[in-house]
Amino acid sequence: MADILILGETRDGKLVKSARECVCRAQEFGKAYSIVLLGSNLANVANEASHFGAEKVIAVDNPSLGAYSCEAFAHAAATVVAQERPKLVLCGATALGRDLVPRIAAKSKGEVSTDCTGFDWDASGLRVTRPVYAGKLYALVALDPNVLNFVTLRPNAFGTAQPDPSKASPISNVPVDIQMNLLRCKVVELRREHKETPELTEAESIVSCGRGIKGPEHIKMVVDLAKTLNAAVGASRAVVDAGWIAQSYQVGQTGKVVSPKLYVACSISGAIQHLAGMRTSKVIVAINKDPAAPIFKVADYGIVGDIFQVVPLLTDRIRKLKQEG
Amino acid sequence: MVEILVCLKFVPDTTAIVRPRPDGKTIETAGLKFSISPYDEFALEEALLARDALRSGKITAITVGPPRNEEGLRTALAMGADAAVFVKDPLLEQAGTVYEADILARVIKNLKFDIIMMGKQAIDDDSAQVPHYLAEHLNLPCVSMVRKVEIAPDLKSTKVTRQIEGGEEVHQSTLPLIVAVGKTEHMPRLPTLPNIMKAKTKPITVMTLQQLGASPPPPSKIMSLTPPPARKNVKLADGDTPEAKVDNLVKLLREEAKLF
Repeated sequence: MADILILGETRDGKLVKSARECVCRAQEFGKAYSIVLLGSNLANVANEASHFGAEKVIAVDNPSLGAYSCEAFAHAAATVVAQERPKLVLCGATALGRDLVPRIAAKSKGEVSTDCTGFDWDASGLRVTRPVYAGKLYALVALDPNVLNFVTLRPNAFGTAQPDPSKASPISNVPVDIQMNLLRCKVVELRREHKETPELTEAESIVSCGRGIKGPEHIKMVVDLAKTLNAAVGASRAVVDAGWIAQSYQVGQTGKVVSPKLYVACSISGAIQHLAGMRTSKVIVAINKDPAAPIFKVADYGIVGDIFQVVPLLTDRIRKLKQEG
Repeated sequence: MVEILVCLKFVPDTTAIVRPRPDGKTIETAGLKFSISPYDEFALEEALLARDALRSGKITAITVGPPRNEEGLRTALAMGADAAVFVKDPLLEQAGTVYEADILARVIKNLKFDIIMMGKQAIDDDSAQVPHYLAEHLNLPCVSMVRKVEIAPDLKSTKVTRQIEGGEEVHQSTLPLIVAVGKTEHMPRLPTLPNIMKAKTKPITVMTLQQLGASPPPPSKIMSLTPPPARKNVKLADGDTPEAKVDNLVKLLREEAKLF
């Protein structure tokens, strides 16, 4: 039996990136791991998952899991956990991971460490690092070796495993009885936002804007830079509360927590609540008129200047670079 | 009449500077301003709006924590909650999530309710688990990261909208249900002076761990609390013109940061 069970989240018939990040960390530990998939019509994604060096891929392929229901998914996952008896269950701290993992843990009498940015497993046991107090402090936590531990990893904070087509893990279909009529809560509608740019929490680069953008008519300038960088668009709370952009774009304490490779903050002053949402970005670039803005305290690179001059120039410069290849 | 329970946690204010004590494992609370955790405040606002929309109802705020929480509970009552339950003990300062959910379950098992609302996470430990463990204790469904709650007038079902990557899920559920809200569309109201006065006479039921038959919280597993890793000093891209600054920035990003 594998030490680690990875909850392989899927979307549109594919493993999501955070699932591959869990695989990567498991591989770095040198421990055996299995990947469990929950859903319906899983044949293709099970085949994809079989190329990641897992001891086995466990598919709970059930029409009742076609749409998300925490009750049904938690029941299915807890059944697999009870059969496999892993020492550790890993999942990404995605919308699904945040909703599902604590419920499975509660059913399995386990404990959860949420949204970890550091994770080690050595002779002294399992230890995680988690941002707490909205990222104002980092907690190093020693996990209890006597309970089943569930760990969710902050998306983009770890490496990403690549598939190896020469490997093929056995795929085991595990039947789980789900009585649809007993489910009290289920998804009845899925609304996809049609954005021109990638999803914030998954993007490798983000271009974000603050109040200095002055009005919704100028958001396009930020979108243009984002498109050039294949980046997602983000915004500060002020921009969202002013109604200039939808709340799903908000980065920060009451918005999304992101950890991209590149975060470009355009006219964002860097309030502590905003820093809470983007402080773990790898490279932070700040563009701001005010040289004393707190964002420059966390930024790696910056320009003191007017975004209305600098951003279009930057877009142009990068577009030319990309054209040159 | 709808009965709504709102679970509140009181945490260092979002603007507060939080420092570890010399033990390196707990935070210095002296002089620290505590407020309702922001998502719990959104939950309370949704509860108040739901009660208004349904024309009548009762909102009970519940908190588990140290004695100073009373002040915050009065704020919740001044915002419009009708009553409060306060599980009070100085030992609850460092209660973990699994323990807190157990205490809440002990309280709630004796209460009548149609729906339980709370924030998706408290912004102190940011662990985002209490609603789910509580749901398991009470054998109820739970939906987290909720942005919108619509309770049917017959109090038999509810529709909640949950934020996910790249969109939203609409969940249909029977009641009772536990709803863990994220940021919603409604900014929490500020208490008015007359309501602050009224809140002084609203009932707060104080309970002890002993009355609930609960043992004190287990010790925390935190080994250390440290400030975030320091970032390097910023390198400003200089130049006499915006064009020159942009050229220098791109050069730094390519050659030093190895981006694009």
